[in-house]
Amino acid sequence: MEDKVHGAFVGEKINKVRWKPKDLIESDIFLTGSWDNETNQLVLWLYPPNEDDADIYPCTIGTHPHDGDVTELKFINSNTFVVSSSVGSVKLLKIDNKEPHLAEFKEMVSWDNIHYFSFGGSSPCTGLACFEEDIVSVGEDGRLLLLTARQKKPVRRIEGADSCSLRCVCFLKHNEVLTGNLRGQMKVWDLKSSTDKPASTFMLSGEQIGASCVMHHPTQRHMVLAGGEDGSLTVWDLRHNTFPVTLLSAHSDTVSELQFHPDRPEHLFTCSTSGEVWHWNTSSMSRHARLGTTDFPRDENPWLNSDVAKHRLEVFTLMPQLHKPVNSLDVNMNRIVCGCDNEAVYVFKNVVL
Amino acid sequence: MTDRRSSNLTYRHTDILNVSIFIAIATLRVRIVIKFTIRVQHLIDRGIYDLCLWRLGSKSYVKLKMDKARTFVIPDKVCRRAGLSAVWFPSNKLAAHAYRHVTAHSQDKYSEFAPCEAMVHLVRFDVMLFDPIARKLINESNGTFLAGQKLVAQAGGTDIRGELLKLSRQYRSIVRACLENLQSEASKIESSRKEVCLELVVIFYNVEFLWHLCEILYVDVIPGDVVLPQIMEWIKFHFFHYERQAKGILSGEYGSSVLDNGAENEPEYWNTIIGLVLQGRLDGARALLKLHSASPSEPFKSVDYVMRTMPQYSVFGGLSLTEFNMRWKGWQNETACKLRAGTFASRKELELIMKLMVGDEEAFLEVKDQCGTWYQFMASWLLYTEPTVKSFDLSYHAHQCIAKFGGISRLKHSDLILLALMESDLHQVIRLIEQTSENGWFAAHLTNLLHHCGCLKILDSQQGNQSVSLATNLHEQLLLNYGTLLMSHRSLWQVGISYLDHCSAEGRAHIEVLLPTLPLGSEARALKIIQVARDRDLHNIVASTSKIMGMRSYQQRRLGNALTWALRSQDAGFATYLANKFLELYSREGKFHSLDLLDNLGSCMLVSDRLTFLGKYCEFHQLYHAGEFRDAAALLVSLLASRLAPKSFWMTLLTDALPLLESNDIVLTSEDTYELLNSMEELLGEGQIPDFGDTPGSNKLTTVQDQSVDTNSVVEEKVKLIRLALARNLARSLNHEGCLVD
Amino acid sequence: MFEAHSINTEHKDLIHDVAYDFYGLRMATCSSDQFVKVWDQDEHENWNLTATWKAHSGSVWKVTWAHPEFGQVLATCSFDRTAAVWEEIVGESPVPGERGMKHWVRRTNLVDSRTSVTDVKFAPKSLGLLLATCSADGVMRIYEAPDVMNLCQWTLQHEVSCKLPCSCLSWNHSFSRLHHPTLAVGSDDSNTGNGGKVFIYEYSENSRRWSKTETLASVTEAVHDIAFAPNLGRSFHLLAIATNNLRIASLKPLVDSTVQSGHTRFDINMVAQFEDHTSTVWRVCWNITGTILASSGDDGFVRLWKSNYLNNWKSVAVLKGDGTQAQTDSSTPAVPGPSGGVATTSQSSTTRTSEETSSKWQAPVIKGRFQKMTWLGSDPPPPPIEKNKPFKK
Repeated sequence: MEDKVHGAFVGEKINKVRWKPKDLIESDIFLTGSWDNETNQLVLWLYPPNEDDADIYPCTIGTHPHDGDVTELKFINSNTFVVSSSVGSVKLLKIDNKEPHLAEFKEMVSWDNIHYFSFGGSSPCTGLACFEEDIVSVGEDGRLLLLTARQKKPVRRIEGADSCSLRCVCFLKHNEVLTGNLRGQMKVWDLKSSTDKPASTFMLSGEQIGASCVMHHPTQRHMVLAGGEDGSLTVWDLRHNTFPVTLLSAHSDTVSELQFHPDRPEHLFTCSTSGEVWHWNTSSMSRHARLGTTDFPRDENPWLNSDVAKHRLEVFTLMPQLHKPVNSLDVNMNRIVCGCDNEAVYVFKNVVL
Repeated sequence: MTDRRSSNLTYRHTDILNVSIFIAIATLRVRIVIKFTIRVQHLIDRGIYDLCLWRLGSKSYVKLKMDKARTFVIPDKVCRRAGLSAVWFPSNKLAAHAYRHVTAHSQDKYSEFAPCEAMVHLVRFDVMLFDPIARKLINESNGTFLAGQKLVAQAGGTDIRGELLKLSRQYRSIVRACLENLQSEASKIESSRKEVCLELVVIFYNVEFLWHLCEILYVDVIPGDVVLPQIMEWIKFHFFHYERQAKGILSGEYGSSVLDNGAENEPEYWNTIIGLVLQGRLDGARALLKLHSASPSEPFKSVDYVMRTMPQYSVFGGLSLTEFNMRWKGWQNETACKLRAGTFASRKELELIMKLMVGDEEAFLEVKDQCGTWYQFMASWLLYTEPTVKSFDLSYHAHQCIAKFGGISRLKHSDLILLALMESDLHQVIRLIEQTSENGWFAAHLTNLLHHCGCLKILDSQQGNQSVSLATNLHEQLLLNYGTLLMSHRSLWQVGISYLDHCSAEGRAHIEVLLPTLPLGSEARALKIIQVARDRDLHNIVASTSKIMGMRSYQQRRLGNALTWALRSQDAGFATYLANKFLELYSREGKFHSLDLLDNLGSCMLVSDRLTFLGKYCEFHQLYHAGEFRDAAALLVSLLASRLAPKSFWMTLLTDALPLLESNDIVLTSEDTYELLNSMEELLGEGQIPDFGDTPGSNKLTTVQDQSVDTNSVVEEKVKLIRLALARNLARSLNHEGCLVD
Repeated sequence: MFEAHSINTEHKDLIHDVAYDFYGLRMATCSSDQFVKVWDQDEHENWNLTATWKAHSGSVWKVTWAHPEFGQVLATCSFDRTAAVWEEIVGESPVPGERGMKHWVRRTNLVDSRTSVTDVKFAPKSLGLLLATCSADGVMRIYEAPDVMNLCQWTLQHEVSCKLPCSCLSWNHSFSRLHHPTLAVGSDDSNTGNGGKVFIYEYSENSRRWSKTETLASVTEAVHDIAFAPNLGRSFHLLAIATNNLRIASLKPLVDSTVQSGHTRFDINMVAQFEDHTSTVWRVCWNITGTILASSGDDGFVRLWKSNYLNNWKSVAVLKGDGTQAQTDSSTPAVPGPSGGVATTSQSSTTRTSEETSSKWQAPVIKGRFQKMTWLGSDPPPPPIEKNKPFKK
């Protein structure tokens, strides 16, 4: 396992890490956002996929200072990304990769102070979700904002979307968004409707377990996976959302990020604040389905079958448990990068899919 | 422990602290142009002495400071006249201000200094280790430290020396990586930052240098304790000046004409060869000698032969120590014979080299300066006199060599550490290392490693009977200091905690005190701090931090979020207070705030009665709006009957009952109606109807006279209506129930 | 090396007390000008004044913060014979992202004392919201807010007469369930014939009252300040006493099951006594881990004291207030580090570089009302000598 992992110490705690998307080929550049420093920064790293040389480590090709902690990073196309901050602002930046080893950041749009407390200064923006050029931002102030990359003025502002802090958000459809809050209350919002009320709500669990991350299945968007503060993973079918389809008590502490592989959705990757990075492989179940050895419909999502899921899931740990939280991970083809609180980034090459 | 004596001056240890003694040393008679300091270790570590030497005119002064307290001056005009006072604040910072004490018995008036500029000076220690480049070292070495702890915990009784050696090498490579980064940074920038980088380079270079020797002598288990080969490696690794020069000469850097005429014309030629010989780099020496124009001739060939045939000790050589010694002595004798026979007489330089290789003392004294430092001299000397020297003999040789280099008084700090390492005086080593400038990183990690190797046990035996193991005490103290230092950094607190975790005696207490003082910042950070507390079963800190987050939300007037945190902290009092606030708001505005929260409280509402009432009351409204009137009514009655509702809210509940009472269907049974009547009478019987007033925390009581007309006619009206509705419903329900029975 | 950051508080007179909140991010100062000022530190480590108000009709002696669990609460005591409890109210933010106006309201005025109230301290939070005050007429009073969310209601729970005028008090914040809550009171009565000037009071659950359990008879001079050290794993408590000199007493609870009264008896020893200040010591303050003590004396110095792992105390640093602007020192320049590549000889020692570098004074950089200065302190420079050549091996 060790030769497949490359770790580099970067001198700052990494809160978010994302591969810079490249069409059709494996990306060799990733972006990190730090947190908990006096001045945080966004750093662009180059890590060419060189199989022979074991001594190649990621190297910095560009940095950009950031006000407050980096709370979320999302690429909307191959060289533009949005970044949200703990001082309540969201910025759209563009990467200018003029030379292979030198990149510059250019701020295109900045939405400042979109999250704030009426009695108390700025509020952190805790989550971003992107769908093409639309961006949804949620914050501790319980606000939900719809922004678009083209204009400075927010398209829609839902005040008081939640009476508690919102902690995560994801797009379900172009006009449908799912948010999760500190108490584990999930709300589905229809952005087309004019009322500021959610279309439906459900609780992650009977206890007050906060929602830490939420992600929809790449192909079947009614299926949603949510990670909880206690390390549990719940699978929901939004068509009948009173009870979760599956509840897995997975990690020993908060699931900090979960990502489906964009091209191979039977693979799921999760990381947690207990230092674990796991690879969930449901392809064997799909295989069995094709062979007709089990009795659930072939095109049914293996996650949605509660019985089988418990027995046929293969979970691999990608690296030995780290002594500090792993905050973020991102998948690109065969490579995974994760950023941790021990001020290091780890790249996993040749992940077996 | 040895008493330090220099050849030039003597001094006595005394127990007088804080006395500066100026000794005009007429006896000194040494004209010293440079200023230097030496540190002297007291027998029982009562104090550290500073010996500073200055030249003043023709006399030299020695200032013997018995204490180590350094004075720091705070520029404040008022302070000078009034006095100074200081207060600590987290983490380990001081706030100093001008102060003049006044007692209660003096007059209350402006001081003699008014009006004045009252300044507060915030003072903090500058921590070199937090430099952005050195910071990578902190986390990387933290990983190694934790790996070491895990290794020891899982090892049981097995021998883990090999693994510990790997860890030691890992630490050293971390330091070297840091050095590389620092140097590349220094080469790229100009400014004052460059100076800082270079200072750090010096510090860490020495750290790695000393660590390496410590590894050789204490961590690595060398078969037969033949340490010299490793020591030679150590020297060769750090002092490569001669090798570089040799490379230069060999590669013809100095011009091809030199090669044509013979490399001996290169000015540094012979010095380089001698240097290589002193370091035992005989292959290099031979290669250089071949470049000499006269190299095919006789003395050269003999020298080449001697060099080629010198026995080199190797653990895997297959030779036992005695065999090797025999061979080596044989070789040396042969060479000595050749010397005596005058084989090399024709070439002075070659003769010198041969004399060195037979361990001729005079020859060594001649090349002393080329050796640079006493330990290089010692290594070279031992290479050619006692190649199988054991580690415990190093002390003797060290002292001899130090004497040749001017004595102990000329030793610098790192030299003292080297000496202490060779003398196996680990206590001294750690004491000295503690004073280095990298803020305790070196001391903490090295002591930890030595502790794992079991080397510190000798400290206990030296100290005699102690109830607490001195070694463990010292080891823990260093880790505690380092961990506490890291806790004072806004970002590195997680690393600090991981060190404190491994201090069995006081670590937990430190975490309990320091963890709560971490500023909470965003919720994400607060949740991480809470997680750390929860992982260590510090449930009181979890509850306290959640309460503080709740209070913060409350101050920001975010009741919903405040309640969420109150529930996390399981604080019944706070939950009750917030529930009351919600009810107050409802009374005032007629609608609920944070309904999404209140509708979904779940089982957490049980933490407080008032909150349970609030939750159930919301449920009542939910049921009502959903049209489930029967269930709504049942709930309403149970709220009143169980006395869960506060008296102040009964009126509201009864008012809520009105539409239910007056609905077309009989929703409330007679039992229910009796219950409601009871409650109404109880309320009125007390003669007053408490009202959920606007002012927080007060209960305005409005008295109602059943028959009065002027006061609170609205309330009176309501009471009338409710009574009427109750009576009507009672009649209806009794009727209906009567029919049912029939 | 020290780094310093100076704040001009704009009090019109000398500051009597500075208190930091639990996190060290908020600072309250009080002065003879009867005002209290509150400062907040922002993300860029700048201190901003967020509130200033006239708190009393006499000099304000002491100010102290309550534990953040109780909200943002301050208590002050003053020459005007009262002690007051204040709570912060935050106004609405005028602009999104900016904090609203903060102002402090008086929640209660404790007027029971007939003389100047000399000290006020909040109790450890595990006891609830408790406040102790002591006054010049020798009475120590303990108030409690039964409902911690209602700061307007305080009841006087205990009134204890110490018989001698009190000047200072200190709660023992580190007590476990095994020991009773303890409080130390010091008296600044200058008559040595009146006996010991430090009293230890203890609360007994059984009798529900505070009673004197020990008197430190060896301290007979006027005591101006006392402070219990935070106890992180020691089996005994340390009490620093500011009197005519600096003393540190250790109080070791005696585990004696035959003691029926329910009091803890202490084995009291003076572990250290320092005459360094050569004059009266006015203030003592422990750092958060209870490892370093700062003492301020009449000689105008602040001394920092630390004990090593063998429990021997010694002074590790001295702070001095000086009005003069120091001129650059012509002593030895810094030992040159290796140039470029790795050092071929380990030239400089590994001591703190400030020992060997000269004391550099930099002109203060004034940013508005804040001044940021960096200096490398050193001892008073040696007698002027001819320029030294750099140390070369």
